[in-house]
Amino acid sequence: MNVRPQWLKVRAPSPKEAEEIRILRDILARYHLTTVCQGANCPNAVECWSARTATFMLLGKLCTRTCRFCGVPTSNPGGVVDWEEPVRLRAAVDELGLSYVVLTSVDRDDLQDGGAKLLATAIAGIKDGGKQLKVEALVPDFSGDEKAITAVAAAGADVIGHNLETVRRLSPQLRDRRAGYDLSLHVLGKFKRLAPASIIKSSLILGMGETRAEILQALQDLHNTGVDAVTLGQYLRPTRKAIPVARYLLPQEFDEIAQAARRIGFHFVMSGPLIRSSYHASEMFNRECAS
Amino acid sequence: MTEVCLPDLGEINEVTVVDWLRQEGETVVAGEGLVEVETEKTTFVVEAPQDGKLALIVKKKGDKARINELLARIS
Repeated sequence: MNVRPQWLKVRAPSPKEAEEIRILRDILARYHLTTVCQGANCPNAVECWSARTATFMLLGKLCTRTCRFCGVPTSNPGGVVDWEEPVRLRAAVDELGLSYVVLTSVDRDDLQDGGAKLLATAIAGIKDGGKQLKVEALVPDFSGDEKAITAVAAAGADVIGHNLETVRRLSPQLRDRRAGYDLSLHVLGKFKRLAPASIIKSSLILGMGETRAEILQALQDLHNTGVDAVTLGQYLRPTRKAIPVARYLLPQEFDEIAQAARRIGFHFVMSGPLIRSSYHASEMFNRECAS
Repeated sequence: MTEVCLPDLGEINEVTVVDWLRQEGETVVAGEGLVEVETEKTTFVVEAPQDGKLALIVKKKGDKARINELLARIS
């Protein structure tokens, strides 16, 4: 089924762009850093990497959860944390000359704080460097743990993201059993209250079997929770183990959903087949702040 | 003769050739789509690196190709 439509095809890099990709990969390897671009086999990796931007994935390459749409490998890292990772991240950010840093992490249910302390350290390490860098952190649900959420909220990220991923009906089927639609809304609401100066962001993946009415309800739920910014993109199967694509939405459908999201009241919406939660994140931030 | 090789695609090691947009003997223009290759998640369009004639297709439709492997030659 499902021959991939024309609008999901991306240009392969030119030799000059390929050289930029090689340089970025070398820097990441030198600092032993991982990116979600790699872990998720992102279709935008060529565009982002050739412009020397990447989304850093902290706390390892292995996720303790198994969501059926995700390409990041599942395992139990056994409580191991690399406390030098935030230091290396800061050094890599400086070497790359980034002004806007996007970071995320795997889920770490093997840790009591879900990895919150390391994430807070990484965020603060970039914010405290005296260069006025902007940080966007896409974080797990920390199982709703108040202390963990408070620690991350206090770290000073300019944007805090947590992805709802899908609509209420599909959430139990598609997300790991420890995740949940209401838990994610709860976590987003907590961040909104505990980090009022931060932009709160979430994302939905479309094309996994949801209806338009369910999408609009999810957007309404996110808005009611206090979420400021949303991104919506087409589900693309990352590996053979993941669920197949249920449907490729037309580009105009993404436009219609974006318009509906704006009517619901979101200040900032990015919606399109190849949109991902961190895609062009700095542009989203700059426009949000200018509005 | 210019070699058209599979460019570095980030962390992708291997792709499948899904479609040649030009056939052997046809004229190609630098920057136009020459061949589509795909991974499980993404379809990439590899562009012609220069003007010329597509002299030889090395990796046929359905073939696997790795980064830097020769896909075709342009004369």
